[in-house]
Amino acid sequence: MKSFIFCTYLFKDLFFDRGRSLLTVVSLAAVIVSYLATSAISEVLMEFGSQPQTGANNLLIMSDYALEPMQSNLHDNLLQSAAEAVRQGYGPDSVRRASPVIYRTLRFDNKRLQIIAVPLEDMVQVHNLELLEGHWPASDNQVVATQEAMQLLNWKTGDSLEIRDTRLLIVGRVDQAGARMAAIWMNYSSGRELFNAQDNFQIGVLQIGDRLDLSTVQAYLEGDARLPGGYVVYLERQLYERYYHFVADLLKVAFILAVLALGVVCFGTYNTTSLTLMERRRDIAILQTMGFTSRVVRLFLLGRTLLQTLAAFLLAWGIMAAIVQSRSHSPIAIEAKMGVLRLSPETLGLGLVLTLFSASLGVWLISRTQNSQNLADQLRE
Amino acid sequence: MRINPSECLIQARGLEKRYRRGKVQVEALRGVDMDVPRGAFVVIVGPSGGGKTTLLHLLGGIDHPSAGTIRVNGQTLETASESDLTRFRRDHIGFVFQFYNLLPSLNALDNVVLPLLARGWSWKEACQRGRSLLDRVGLQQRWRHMPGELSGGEQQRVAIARALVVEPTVILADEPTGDLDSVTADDIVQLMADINRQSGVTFIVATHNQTICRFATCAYEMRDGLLHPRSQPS
Repeated sequence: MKSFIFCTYLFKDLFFDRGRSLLTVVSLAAVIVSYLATSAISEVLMEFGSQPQTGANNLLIMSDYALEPMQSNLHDNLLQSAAEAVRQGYGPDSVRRASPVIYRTLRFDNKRLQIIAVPLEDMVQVHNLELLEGHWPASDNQVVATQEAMQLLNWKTGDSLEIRDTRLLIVGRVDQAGARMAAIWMNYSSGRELFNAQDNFQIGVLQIGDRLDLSTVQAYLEGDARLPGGYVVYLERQLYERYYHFVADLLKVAFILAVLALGVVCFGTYNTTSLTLMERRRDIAILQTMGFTSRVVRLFLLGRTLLQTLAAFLLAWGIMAAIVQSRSHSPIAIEAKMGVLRLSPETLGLGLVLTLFSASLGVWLISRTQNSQNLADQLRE
Repeated sequence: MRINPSECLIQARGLEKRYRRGKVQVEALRGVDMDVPRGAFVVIVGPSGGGKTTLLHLLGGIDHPSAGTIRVNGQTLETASESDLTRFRRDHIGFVFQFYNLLPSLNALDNVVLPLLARGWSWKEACQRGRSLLDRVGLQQRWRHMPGELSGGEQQRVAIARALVVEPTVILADEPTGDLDSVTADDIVQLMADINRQSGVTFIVATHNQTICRFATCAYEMRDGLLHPRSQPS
């Protein structure tokens, strides 16, 4: 059978059966949307579960009773005493920076936001902030916000916000080494005034020299009898581990969701395809009776099915893109950590390959079953 | 009935067919001998379940016999592979079924030319031939119509045109009037008889309608899987 005639018959068949074809396309699209949505959600969850690559040389000092940074309360003297102790033990270059951090969490429009106040020069050197837009705070009423905070609260550079009756101007957009936290960073002096923290802060950060082993310094600090007790020392990455521990289970959920998504697209496509083909068994038998080889019939079914599957995939892609677009202004946030629903090329590519493979598998299995059955029996049915 | 081998188009000897339907073993044919001369109009009558359809399936290369031999136009069928049988059906056999078995998604002309397309004909040539065949069965104005827009008799005419289009050696018709009223049934049988007379195509018609026997050049009765010759019609 010539290719042009083959395609003409293919489209005629699809057009004649347009009601059912459309139903098949919609059913397949629903399956594929489920896959894309599940994959997108699992990607967001994996983002929540991933840890930022920041604070490689930082030791954090917090109150030993604090379950989260906001509960910590350290006296001003402690950080300088700790820095001095390390310098005495490991040399004058052993501590590069000693940076106090005032830390609060507040709710804006029912969304949780971190408020972090640090000395201006430490924003880059200690906390790895990168300015993406605007400029660094130049006065006490100026702040910078992470891009996640801006996205979460629909802010932009130049907007202002109010905390405790103080109007603050957002003068820059920053990124914190992939931490994806919704946070506002301000100068330490502004934080002190705003939160009335005259002689205390929540976290003390010691930036240690490159050649020293952080764990050794950590143990040294925790055992130093010259320092007052009531604090614990973390490697910054350990603290992140502790903080991220609560979302670690999300990774497992994400993995299960990803596996489910693959199953959904494979079995869903196979079932829809094979059900459609089962209904065409008699037509297939007639074609074979007239002398069409099983290869031509299989090609016809495959072409028909792949066209429907491709149409379904495009429809599903469109639907999912619309969903992602509609959700782009309201990202998913767990605590102050942000995740944005998106369709990655990998998800789409894998989905397309799996969908077409499952559809082809459906055609192949049905054709195989059909070929193994007696043609006379099929005509009798 | 024995005929000169040179005139014999179809020769079947000791045909048996057994198959399972659920847990029951069905013995559809129990040793059928049959000789069909070229150009004959053979009618096989008998009640439903007597084995008529099974015999047509074996003669048309749709099924293999459990025992016995079949030669059609010099070709041995009982040992042929599936691909050989597919080629055999494509090149030698036209089928007419009780329920027409037209593809509902294609119009009358598309249905008629399908067997030609299976043989690799070009669209233009296939359409010319298809139109002439539709003309011959009286449907020249109806070629664009879908099967659902045609009456039962018209659909059966399309099916006959489809069977004829490849100039088959033999046309096997299984209850071709079974779904038609008596007037339309007579028209269809008359059409087949005319085609047989004019173009010399061999017809084997399985039916439980005894009146068709009046057109037959030889007639058989099929009962309980056995084929019995009937007295020669006048």
